[in-house]
Amino acid sequence: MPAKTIQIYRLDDSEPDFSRLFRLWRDYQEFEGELEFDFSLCPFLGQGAVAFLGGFARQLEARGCAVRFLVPTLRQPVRANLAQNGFLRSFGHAEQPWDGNSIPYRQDAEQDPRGFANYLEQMWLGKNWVRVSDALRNAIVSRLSEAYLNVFDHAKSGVGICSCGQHFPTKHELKLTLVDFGVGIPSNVRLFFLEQHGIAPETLPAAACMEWAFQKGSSTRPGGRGLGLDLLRSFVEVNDGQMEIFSHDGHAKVTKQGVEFRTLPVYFEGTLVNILLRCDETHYCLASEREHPF
Amino acid sequence: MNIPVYDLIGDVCMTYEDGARLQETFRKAFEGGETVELDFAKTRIFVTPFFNASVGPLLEKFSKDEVRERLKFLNLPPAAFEPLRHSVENAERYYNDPGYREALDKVLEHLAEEA
Repeated sequence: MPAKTIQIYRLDDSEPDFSRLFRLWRDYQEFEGELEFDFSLCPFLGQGAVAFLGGFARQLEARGCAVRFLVPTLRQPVRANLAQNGFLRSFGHAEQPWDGNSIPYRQDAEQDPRGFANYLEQMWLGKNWVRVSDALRNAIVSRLSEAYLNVFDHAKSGVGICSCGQHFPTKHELKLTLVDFGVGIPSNVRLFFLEQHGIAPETLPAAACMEWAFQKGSSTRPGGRGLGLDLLRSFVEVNDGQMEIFSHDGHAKVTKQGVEFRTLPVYFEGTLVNILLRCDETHYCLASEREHPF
Repeated sequence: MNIPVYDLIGDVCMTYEDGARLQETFRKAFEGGETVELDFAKTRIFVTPFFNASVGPLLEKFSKDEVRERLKFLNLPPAAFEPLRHSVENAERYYNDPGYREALDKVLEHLAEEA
């Protein structure tokens, strides 16, 4: 049986671009056989698409499919980016990564919070791209590590988390995408409401589940794990960043104006978190050491 | 009682296991009525599960005011404030709202089984 070829077009990290990726996954998640990705019509591939395609391929490989990224079809800037961030090497190609504006592609099959914190410190913030004090650097790594643990808690995908970042020097922005192909945030929230209030899962739209997960106090227990996202939300809001979360057909967008929740016409059963931070300390506000923490 | 957290855990305070290890060192003294000082000098990175294990469980037997009164946080870096506050607020609700606790336990146990 000949390999099936998927044509990849320009993919940035806009909502329509993520929706295209989710539709692609919907169409091929049950695929069996050989699958190839052709990039000849793709002039740009953002960090979100890199993380997503990495997870896509690993999910199919875990089910026994053969997945190939057709390297000769890559246009030079895209090829350079995928080589630089280690994506090509991760999928068996010879190109060695190097230092540049790309932040390495990373796969965590097992939870490794210390490793992820090191990745953020050394590969994401550690290149003097972000003009921040040590205190703020530590706060950023702490909050993003929280996001990593949260996605893992909602994952249960077996393949774990794929992540990738990018530095945009002219815009003074740092971006990071985390994606898992697990059960998603709404599944866990619906189970909670079924247990606590006897509310039938089908009566809770995904956007409402996302809204609950963002509310203060909706999250963790003293035993360690959690469901909530409010800590990350407040950090992004206060510090003029942006964050989007896609899970099932729920979508949350956090900006300094607050959080918007919507139901999208496209469905992705896992969770994708896309974060933008500013590379300048003037945008940030940290807790004062004179305050009592609680 | 004074505990230098860095000497016990290092500069990265992230995991539930490390938080539990920290609490083991002072739980008995705290339950015996002592004031405990946790000195966070030289620590840098903080994530909620660490405080969920090291501080949150105290709310089962003690009020927030009592914990605040007898558990002192010395040299606590700004990065730790939000996760610590978050842990304490959630623990307070968890131990004071049985319906919430039961539902959360079931969901999180389900997550742990499936992980």
